Amino acid sequence: MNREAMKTISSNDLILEVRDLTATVQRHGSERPVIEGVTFSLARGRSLGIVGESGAGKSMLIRSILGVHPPGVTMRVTGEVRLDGHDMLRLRGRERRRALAASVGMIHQDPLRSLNPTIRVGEQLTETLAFTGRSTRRDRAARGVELMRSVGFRNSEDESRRYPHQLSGGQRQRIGIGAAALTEPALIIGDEPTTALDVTVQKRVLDLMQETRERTGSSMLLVTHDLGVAAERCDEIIVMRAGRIVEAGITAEVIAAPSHPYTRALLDSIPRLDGPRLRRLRVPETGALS
Amino acid sequence: MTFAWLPRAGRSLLVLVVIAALTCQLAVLLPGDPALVLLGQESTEAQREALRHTLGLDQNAFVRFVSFVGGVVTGDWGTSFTSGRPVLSEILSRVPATAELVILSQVVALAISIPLALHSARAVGGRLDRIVSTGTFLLLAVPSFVVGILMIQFFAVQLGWLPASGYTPFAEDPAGNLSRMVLPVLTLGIAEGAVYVRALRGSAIEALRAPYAYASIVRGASDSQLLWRRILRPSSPTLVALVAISLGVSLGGTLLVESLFAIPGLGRLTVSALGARDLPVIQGVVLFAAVIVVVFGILADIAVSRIDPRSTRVPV
Ligand SMILES: Nc1ncnc2c1ncn2[C@@H]1O[C@H](COP(=O)(O)OP(=O)(O)OP(=O)(O)O)[C@@H](O)[C@H]1O
Ligand SMILES: [Mg+2]
Repeated sequence: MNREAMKTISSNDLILEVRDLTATVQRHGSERPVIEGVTFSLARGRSLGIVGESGAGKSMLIRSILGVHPPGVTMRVTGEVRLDGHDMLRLRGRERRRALAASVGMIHQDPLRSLNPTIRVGEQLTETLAFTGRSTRRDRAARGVELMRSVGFRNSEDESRRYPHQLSGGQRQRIGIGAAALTEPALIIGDEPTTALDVTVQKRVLDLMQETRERTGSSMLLVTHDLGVAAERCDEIIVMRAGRIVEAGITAEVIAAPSHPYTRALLDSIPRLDGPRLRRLRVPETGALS
Repeated sequence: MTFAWLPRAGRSLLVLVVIAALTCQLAVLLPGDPALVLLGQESTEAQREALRHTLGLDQNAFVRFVSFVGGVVTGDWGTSFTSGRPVLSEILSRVPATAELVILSQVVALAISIPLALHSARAVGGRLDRIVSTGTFLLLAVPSFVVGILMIQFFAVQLGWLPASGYTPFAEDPAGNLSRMVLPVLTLGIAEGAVYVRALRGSAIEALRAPYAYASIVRGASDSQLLWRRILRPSSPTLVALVAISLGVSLGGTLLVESLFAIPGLGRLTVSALGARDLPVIQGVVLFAAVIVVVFGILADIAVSRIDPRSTRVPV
């Protein structure tokens, strides 16, 4: 995999191309940039980790790529986003919804709050089919049961009829993974998919994501503030800070020789078994960054 | 199965007993000698004595309560002073007009308020949202009879499209019935709708901020799929509770609108009974209204527990 990344890739092999992406939040007549001039690309089948401290703009970057803004917030997004061949910033209406449904599977941070409390999980898992295609309720139910089995529910016939609050945290996130895999999308996005889970469940969920990716051949965009997770799971890494990319490269290289002081600070903050477990993230003075 | 519904049923029964107890003491609660108050100064002592006996005032409070409840349960709600007819049939004859008015106006209120609330929540702070917020605020600030008067002025007097008032039973003249219902139904429906818009809009904004709304959008939901199939249900418990309260309260009679549009419903029965000091009828409508409020309270609990699966409320 790593060797492949070294060779130049024709743009046809790119699942995601982001060029000079800038997003501003408009409020009370003033504009505040939350993403500034972000450029990166992701090849088919590969995985990219996006790391950075809280507020760095990781979630906003994902939202800007997908064109789904926070409710009640007016945003202006400029630049270029090409996702699985779709010109995301220019697509509108039905076509944009189809592109999202077909090309993207997303796993969210909070497994409980990202499931609708009033809808049975089997139905939520397959809602993309209900939204975008002509499918019968019965077909979707069968698909839901099958998908739930594939993410490790043993009693999925029965469990697909449960409501989210009747599942455990890990089970809920497995629903999220199943839903993300439904259309076998070209890109699976996880926005801190394991932050809300406890450590033992984290690993299982990440493994399951990996398995799912291997099965569907999807690429992955994994947002995390844990550089350790990114290092372990991703081919490439982007480090973000204050809406900009401060470092990008092949994972092994970034870890071995971080060129930016901020990355070094992030690396230092990873708890190690042989070191003190609680070390605060020490961020260098901003002068060193710009 | 458990008997978890027992406490809820017990509370409902307690409410009814308390109201029955207060109702049957109404005569005594009036200041002065009830018989004198009811019959007036010109009455003879023999007439007053007879009235005291009919009202059970010559017995103690407990005996009066027991015979009152006994009567209510067996369908003997007393006899109207003014019409001489049984109170229960007096009440039941007024139910159709009020029920038609109230149910149609609830339908109108929901049909207007749900789409407005959902779509203004979707574009919070947008043009539709600003118009809706200002409009509902205005409607909440203006009493509903003012809206009714304006509608009579405009649609009945100026345009002459609709009759200004009156009531014809549906069975006799369906067209006449409906045309007379339009203005009162709109008057009541708009007033209720304004409240519903406010309540539902708030919950819908909250639901739209939840990550599950984001998730559904990424899964390809259109605005209307998102709002109607994914947001409405989790946002509606408050609305459902409000509708139930409003149904319960207004089915007992909508005084202002019935008076304004001359609709012979329970509200007008109450007003005329109060004017005539027709005590048995007053007791009857109070108790009838109480029963309806209690029944709709229970229905609301059931509905909410169906809507929100997390709800631990017991479906009675
Ligand atoms: N709903 C919103 N309205 C306005 N500004 C927002 C909103 N959400 C986030 N922002 C701003 O956008 C910037 C980036 O936030 P973002 O949520 O993308 O950070 P993040 O890197 O995902 O952080 P975290 O690790 O905490 O999730 C922050 O400055 C934040 O204040
Ligand atoms: Mg985030």
